[in-house]
Amino acid sequence: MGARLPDQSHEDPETVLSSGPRHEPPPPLATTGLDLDDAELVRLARLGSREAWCGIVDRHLPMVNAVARSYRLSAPDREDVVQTVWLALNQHLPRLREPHHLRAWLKRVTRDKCLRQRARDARQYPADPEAFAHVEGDAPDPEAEYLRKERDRALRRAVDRLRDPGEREEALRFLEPDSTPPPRDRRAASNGRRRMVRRLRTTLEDEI
Amino acid sequence: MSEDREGRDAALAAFDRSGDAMDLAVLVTERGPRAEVVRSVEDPVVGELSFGFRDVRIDLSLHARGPSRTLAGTVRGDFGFALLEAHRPSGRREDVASIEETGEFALQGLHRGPIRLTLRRDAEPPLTTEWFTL
Repeated sequence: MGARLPDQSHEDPETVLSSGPRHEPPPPLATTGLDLDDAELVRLARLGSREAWCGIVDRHLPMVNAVARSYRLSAPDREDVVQTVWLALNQHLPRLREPHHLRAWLKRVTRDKCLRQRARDARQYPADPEAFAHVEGDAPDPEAEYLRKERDRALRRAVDRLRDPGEREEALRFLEPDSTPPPRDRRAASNGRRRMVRRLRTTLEDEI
Repeated sequence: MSEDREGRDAALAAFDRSGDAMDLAVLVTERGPRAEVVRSVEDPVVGELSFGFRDVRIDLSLHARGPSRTLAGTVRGDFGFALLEAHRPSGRREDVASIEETGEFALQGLHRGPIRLTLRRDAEPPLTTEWFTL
């Protein structure tokens, strides 16, 4: 929601029906509103001083915005919440018992409204299932797992067909390094591994 | 506009002393959805709110259908004919519903955003709820 400016062109029934007291216009602020403390700004705003309200907004808006941003709401929801906070302050202005604690009041109300909005929206976000196609989860992909097992079975069959016990031992050492003792002659083992890989590849290509 | 100044126009526009004399029904309870919102439910309840002032109680269920919202509920209290109006920050009255004999009402096709309800009863001053967000 964007900023909504008051529409003064219509007749608001509340204005018409309100039987509230009519205050004398407040005196103009001698200095900028920011020179006065919160209690004084609240007192003048209660009397109808827009300048005092402006002072309150300019003093506390950054804090209200910072608190609202910390809840990571969507931008429209955050704007609605922040606007509702200021509407609530305007509504409670005549009833604030401790106006000198205005900052704490605003902080509490902002947090409260953000929490409520977040709780309400937590279950509302529609999600496109396609958006999850690229998300990597902890669980193995069933298709990849099946292909891996099929490859292992074909490799095991090819190893079983190796006639040379040395090559078979080298193949098992390559496939299961933890369960096979290390080679005594590393150079010979390296040459044997190359032969074994060539033979395995030939066997697998014949199988396909 | 810097982030610190974001929303300043709306904040300044919130200033309005015309409702100071109105009775204010404050939020008594608010609950989130009762169950997981699923697509098969056409108008899921996404929130429940209750406002109270003296012997008057306004219980609301907030229903969502796409971007549109419906407020349905009951008003309890000792009064005869009554109307419930939905007001926006601009002062615009978005919708009005009459209160049935059972106290039930429904305000449909509401847009999202800040809103307050005003209860108008015979021979009673208007009663308004605190602002809340649809």
